[in-house]
Order: sequence, then C-alpha cells, then structure tokens
Amino acid sequence: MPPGGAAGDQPTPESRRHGDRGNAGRRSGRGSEGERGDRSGQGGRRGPGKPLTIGSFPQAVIHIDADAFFASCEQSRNPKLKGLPVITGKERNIVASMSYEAKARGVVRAMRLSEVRRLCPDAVFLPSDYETYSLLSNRFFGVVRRYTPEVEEYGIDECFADITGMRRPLRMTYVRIAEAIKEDLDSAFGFTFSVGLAPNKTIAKIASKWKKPSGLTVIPGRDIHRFIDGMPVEKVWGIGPQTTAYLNKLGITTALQFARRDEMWVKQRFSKPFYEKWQELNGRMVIPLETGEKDTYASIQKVKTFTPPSSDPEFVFAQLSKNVENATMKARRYHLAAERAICFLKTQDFRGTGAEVRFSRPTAFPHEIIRALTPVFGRLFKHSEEYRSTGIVLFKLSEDRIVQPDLFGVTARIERLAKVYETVDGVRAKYGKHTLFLGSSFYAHKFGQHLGERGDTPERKDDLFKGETARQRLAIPMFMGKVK
Amino acid sequence: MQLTCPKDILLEKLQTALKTVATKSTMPVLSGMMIKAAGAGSAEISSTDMELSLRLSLPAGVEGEGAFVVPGRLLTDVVRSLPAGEVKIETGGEQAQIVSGPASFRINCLPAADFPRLPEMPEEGVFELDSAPLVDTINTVARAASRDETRPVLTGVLVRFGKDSVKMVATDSYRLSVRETKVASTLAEKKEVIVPRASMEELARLASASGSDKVRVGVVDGQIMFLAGDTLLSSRLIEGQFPNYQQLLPDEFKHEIELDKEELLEVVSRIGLMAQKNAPLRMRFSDGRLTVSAQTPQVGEAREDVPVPFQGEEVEIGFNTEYLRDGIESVQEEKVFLRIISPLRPGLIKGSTDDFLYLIMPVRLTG
Repeated sequence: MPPGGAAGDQPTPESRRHGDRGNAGRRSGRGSEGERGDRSGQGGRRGPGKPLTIGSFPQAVIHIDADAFFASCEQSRNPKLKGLPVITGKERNIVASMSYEAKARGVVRAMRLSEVRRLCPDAVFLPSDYETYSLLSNRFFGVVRRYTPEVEEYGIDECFADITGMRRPLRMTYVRIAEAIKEDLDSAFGFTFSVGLAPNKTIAKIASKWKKPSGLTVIPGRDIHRFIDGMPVEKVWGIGPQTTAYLNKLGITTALQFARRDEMWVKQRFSKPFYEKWQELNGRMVIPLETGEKDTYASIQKVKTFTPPSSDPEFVFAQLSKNVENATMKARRYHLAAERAICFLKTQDFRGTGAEVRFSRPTAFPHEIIRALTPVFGRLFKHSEEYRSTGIVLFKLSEDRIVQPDLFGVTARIERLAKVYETVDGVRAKYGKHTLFLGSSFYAHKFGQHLGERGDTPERKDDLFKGETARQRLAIPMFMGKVK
Repeated sequence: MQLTCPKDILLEKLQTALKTVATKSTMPVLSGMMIKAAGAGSAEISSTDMELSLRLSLPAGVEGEGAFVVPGRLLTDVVRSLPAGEVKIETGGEQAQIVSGPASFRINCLPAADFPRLPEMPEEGVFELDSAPLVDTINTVARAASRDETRPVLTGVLVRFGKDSVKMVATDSYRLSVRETKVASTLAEKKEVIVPRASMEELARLASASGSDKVRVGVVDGQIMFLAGDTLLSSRLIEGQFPNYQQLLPDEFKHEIELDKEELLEVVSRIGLMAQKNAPLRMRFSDGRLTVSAQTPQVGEAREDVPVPFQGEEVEIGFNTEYLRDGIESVQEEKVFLRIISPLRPGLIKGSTDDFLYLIMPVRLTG
C-alpha cells in the first residue's frame, strides 16, 4: 500500500519513522501507513467527523517508550547479540522482555521458556540484570532532561516530558524537539525509542504506541479524532476491564465514541479519573506530570521465587525472612513504617496461601515483623506441599518520624533500635546489600536463589577481579553507540 | 403474644436498644432485638453485640406469653415512620405484625431459640452507688482510653470500687487520666475491673437518662452488670494487667502555673484551629506571660498571649491540641494547675485538689 494511497478523501493519522529526515519540521499531511489507513478508507464507512478540538498544541507533552528495553539493553551491551532473538527473564523461567527479532518469531511476554525454545531454537536466554537496566534507565531520563526539566519517570523504560514553552529557548518546533530527543536517545543507546507528541499525557501515550518500534507520531489536538476513531476504548491508558465492560454496556466501544459523549453525561456516570480521561481525549490537559522523585509508597512488596521448590520449613521461612529484610530496608530508606503486613507462600502448582498481620505500632524493623510472622507461618506452611515462592507486602505505611512520644518509654526503645538499623544499613551501603543479615534469613543466603540453569547470573557478575564487586563493574562506562 | 404501646415510648426504647444491636456479626440473630412478655403491664426489649448487652423494660399492654426476635434496625425504622398514636405488635410464629391506624406491616422474625441468653444480675455481691458522681467520673476519664485494638487492655477503663469512693484510670499511652470521686456505696470489699470504654460511655448515657439517682452494680464471670432505673446493662470485662500508672507520675515538677480554666480552654480551642495535620500547639512560658501559638504549613498560623504568674527561664512545650483540651475540660474547678518539667517530660494538668490528675506527654518541637 503506497503511503496515502488508501486514504482517499478520508484524512488519516500521520505517522513517521524517525528515518524520514526529509520531513523533519513539517508534517507530511496525509501520509498514512499500514492497516489503519486501510480501515478508515473502507467503502461506505463513516469517517471520524469533525475535530474534537481546534487547537493543535495548547500544551505539548511527549511520551517516550524504549523499544524492548531489557532485551535492547543486553544487545547494546553485547554487540554479539545484535540481530539475534534475545530473551530476558531466564531466572523466572518466563519471558520478561524479548527483542524485536524474537517478537517476529511469535514470542510474547510471559511465555514459558520451554515454549520459546520450541518456537525459536536459536533464542538467547539471559538472566535479568536489573541493576544495569536501572542504570541505563537513569541515563535515558538524563538525556530527556537536556530538553526540559519537566520529566515524569513513568516506568523503568518510559517517561513523559512536558515541552510546553520550550520552543523559544530551544529554537525548535515541538515536532523538532521530539525528533531531536529521539535522535539523541537512539544514537546514545544504540537501540531505538518510540516517541509520541500530543497535547496531553493520554494522547501522547496513544501516539508513542501508534508505531513501534522506532516510531515518531505527532497528534495535534485537531487530529485526535482521526487517531481514536475505531480504537477500542480499552486501549486508552487508564481504562481497565471493569470500565470497558461498563462502557460497552452503555454502547461505547471505541475511544472516539467515548470522547464524543456529552460532558454532563460523562460526569454523571463516571468517577473523576475517567472524567479526566474524557477531557484528555478531547484535547485538554488535566492530568499533570508527576515530576518529583517518588518519595512515598502506599505499599512495599517483595516476592522471590526460588528453584528447585522446597518443602523444608526452615528454608522456606528463610526466604520469607529475606523478603522481610529487603522490604523493611526499602521502607527505612523512604522513612516509612508499616502497620500491617500480608505474607504469602506459593506452592509448586501455583496455589497461594496468605495471611494478614497487624502490628501494635508502625514498624520497619525486620526482627519485629519476623517475630509476628512466625506463628502465622506455622499455620500456613504444610509439610506435604512444595513451595516455589514467598512474599511480603507491607502496607498502611506512615512516616516513621515520631512526633508524639508515649508515656511508657516505647518511643525511646524504638529510637535505640532505629540507631541499630541505621548502622546496619550503613554497613550494607558500604560493603554490599547482603553482608549483614538476620540469622532467620541464613538458609536463603547460603544457597543461590535458583539452583541449576535458572541460577545463571549476568555476565557482569562473573570473572570479577579479586576484591572487585559486581556493583563496581556496573559503574565502568560502556561504549554503546556507533561512531559516525 | 400481643403488645400495645404509644409510639413515642416504644421508639425511645427501640433507639436505645439499637445501640447494642450487632451490625457486622457472623451470627444473624444478633442483628435482632428480642421482645419478651414480662407480665400484664410490661415487656422487655433485649439486644446484644456479645460485648455489651442491654435489657430495657417497656411499659405496655401485654396479652399472652412468649418472646420473639425481630430485625432491630428494621423495626426501629418502621416504628419511627409511624404517626403518633398506639402501636400494636402481634406475633404468632414466624412473622410479627405491626399495626398503627390504617398502616400494617409484617416482618419476618429471626429464630428466638438462637438468641443468646443474656447475663442476669447475680444474687450476691451486688452493691449500690450514687449515679451522678459515677456519670461525672466516666465523662472525664473514659475519653483518655485508647481506640487501638492492638493493646486491648488500654481500650478499657480501670475502675476501682472502694468503700466510699470510686476511682477510674484510662490511658492511650499518650495521656493518662485518673479521677477519684467520693461516693456513697454499699460495697463490702474493694473491687477492681477493666471495663471497655464504649460500655462505660453507654452506662453514663443510660444512667443520666434513666433519672434514677442510684446504680446497682454486680460482677460475675468476666461480666459486669449495671442496673440504672429499669435498664440492665451488662458488659464483657477486659482481662489483663493494667499498666502501673502510679510509676508514670513524676515525683517532682519544676514549674506549677495557675490558670483560669475557662480562659485557657478558650485560648487553646481558638489557637488550636491552626494546629492541623498533627501540628502541635506550642506553649511558650516567659516571665509573666504564656504565648500559645500554632502553625500548619500551607494553612496558616495563630498566636495569643495570656498573662500568667510564671517566673524563671523561658520554656517552650508542645502538645497535641485534642489531648490538651480533653485534660483542661475535665477539670471541674475554676482554676487549673499546669505542672511541667521540661519540653520532653510529661506535663500534668489538675484542679485545686489531687482528685483529678491528667498526665500528658508533650509533642516534640522542631524549629
């Protein structure tokens, strides 16, 4: 299908590859690619009608999504992997991320590795190396921040950037800014990013997804209706299965149908988040960027799977204990303390049991939580079962700063303990996360998390020099781009 | 059986009984009230949530014998909606019929056999005391009890019945309230129990509403019973060791400041409006002056000076407004005495006698 060929008199969304340098700075008008052009061009079907809004960019928001981030990180670190179907998630025995080469062969996320092997015998399986990914992720956000300070880190591999008002200082159009960010990212990392430019976050998210990998899609306000016409309403960011089912009952199946509904009609039937979605679909910007570093949590969860599965209560409890230590370490880092916790065990056949515990006061001390969990674990654990994972969720979190001391001297004791853990955390920060741990976690530290093939560690952790830690190697600059 | 009663009287009794109707129980029958014939001129209404039970007597024309259980909230709503006048309730099996003028209802009954047997006032060991001082003491002390269920013993009020006095103690670990009241009692030997806060507050309400100037008290099998007028309230007792509050009271204080109760209460309430989101109320004592101030970021601030007979080095101490106000309010004399040691040690609020002591832990001040 030649670009624009099927569009006929129906204008269709534009979408450009980053490579279309010739078009930089001006929009290609009625260019269209792929099935969407086909669909809206089909005979007799009514077009998307009049625009939802007449402005183009009252606000300009970019959403950037790294393509196959984990797999791309691995490929860019190790050029030998380029062009190969690379899959990460070996330690979980399922696909966490796959390169586009693997995707082309039909590999999908969460697929079991045995199935991948059948589908794609030459696939390269790698254990996840989150330390590296998060390092690269920080560099990714750093590149975006060269263009605007207003960046929301939405996930490890995606972010929003508000570039409103940046045209004059950067001497670039909004489209050019989006292109420049993409160029910088692509060349700095040696893999590609998909970028969407739109008047708000919801539409920007639609834009970045419009064309993957390596897409750059621009949706000005007056073109929104062309993009969301025929788009199933559940594809809109933030509209989940429950809302979709409700919308379907009201006769709404596409995003455009929802956007075209009367404001009062929407307000009466939906809660605020969905009314906000409606406003954004209509080109207004109502959902602000959350640019602050995440400094608080509603809950903290730590879950770890181990292989082979175990029916040894001491080993399984040690796994749980290690999770508690990790969760409380995170809680202390954010100065939070939990009033409640849920602990759970999962058996080899994926059945789970769990229980909730309440503490008499908010705590972030693992030994206190572990003491409270001991009787609970005794009730949950069945000797006849084989367990494969344990987990802990800390919730009802509050700031750990004590404002109101008590009459009985409990406060003084907590403060002494806080000093002890401050020291423990200090030792861990200096010498490694697992240099100091509670005796109850011993068996989880004595053996690797996974024995056998799943226990493979990232290459970076092998062949270290004497005295060198894997974390130190992480900091060694790596050359990842191409010399032009 | 059949029962006739004026709507107003019936409604008043039902509303009282509704307080102990269980709302979230695994036993469906506890959402009901039992109505039982008790002779020609009266019936009894009982309800329980297994922690607190009530038995009220209802003056009514009664024919026949027996008892039935009806959903408590529904019956109350039905009776409330009726016009003034006689209400007739009749039951003969699985439904109760309620008739008032031309309106009639049929409500399905709950199985009366499943309704728990409520404790009876024991034969022995019952004593009687004056109602008014008892109610007073509850109203000043119970509010300091904890609402945190993780330390059950602190959710109760420690009650020590003496031969000529009753002493109550409650603490939520941030403040402690103790009051000893002289009261005429027929008690033979001392008794000490921990009663849930909610039960004490309900007793105070019922005793003042009953109009009776005496309350009869009986303790048996982990239950305490109070009979005020013709209303019997029985409550579960909390087991456990109440903390030794005596050792929390500091032996000596550095300062004692005498203040006018009403004036201080007004200032604290006023300035306290600006102590939101856990912000403390600050009290700065300097020569001859107390400055009360509060500040909440993004909300605003307030300050007020009060002349006080204070001498010595300046002290600034912070309190939770609500705790402080509770303490001042509970003082029954015109003057309150505030005793402090330092900004980090507990302060004491009392009247001119030692009958009432209110210990309060300060809030840490920053900046």
